[in-house]
Amino acid sequence: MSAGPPEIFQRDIAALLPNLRAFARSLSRSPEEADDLVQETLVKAWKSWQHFTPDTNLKAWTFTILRNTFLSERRKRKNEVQDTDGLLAQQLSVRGAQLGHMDLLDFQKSFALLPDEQKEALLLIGAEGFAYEEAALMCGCAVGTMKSRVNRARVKLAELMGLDSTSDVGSDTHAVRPARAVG
Amino acid sequence: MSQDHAGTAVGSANDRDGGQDRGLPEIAEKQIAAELRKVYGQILPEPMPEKFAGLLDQLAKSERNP
Repeated sequence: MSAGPPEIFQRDIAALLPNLRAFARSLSRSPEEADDLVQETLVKAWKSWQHFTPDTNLKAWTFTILRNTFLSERRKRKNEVQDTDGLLAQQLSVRGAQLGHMDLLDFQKSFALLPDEQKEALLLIGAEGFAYEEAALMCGCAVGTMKSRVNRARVKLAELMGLDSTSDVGSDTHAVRPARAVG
Repeated sequence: MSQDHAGTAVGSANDRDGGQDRGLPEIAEKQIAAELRKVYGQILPEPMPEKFAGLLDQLAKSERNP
């Protein structure tokens, strides 16, 4: 009679909260933005529970809602204001590159400089343990694209953190080039 | 809830081909995987803001009294 989701759905959603929040926190630029994102995800999941196929992966389903919400918010905001975050990220990266090996970044700062699609790829695969096939479905891309995003993310992180010793030739002019890849 | 976040390195062994395309040293891959899990693992157990429980309650109530 009621249009509400069954209790098990409600319980399972509640149990996923820590993961949804950690994913949101890792994608967002502030804890406030992350919490708004989680709230919106909960409301959307709740209202569209009938679109969820029982016995399929609720975590993948809710994560998909969250990343779609995140991306559409990002797009909206990009149209409204200048992307100062992206600009800052680029400046940071250029500065880091110019200072060369004196100014290596830690993991979190490096991660923050990755493009959104690489961040989410790394989080879904490396932090949440989704299979490449699952993550590709969630993000609406090919499996090969997902693999390549994860790979590019790792290469970029290694570069920013100074872990890419094989490409380390100690040349400052060489080091400036990758900055353009950000954003 | 589940432990699955802890189980997978950043595409470690099963993505060996993709990971080696650009010649990223294995030690770099491992360090990145470990750092990611560490940072993510620090966020996971953080206490949930009350507002989430409140929101879920509110949603449940609104379904009962539309």
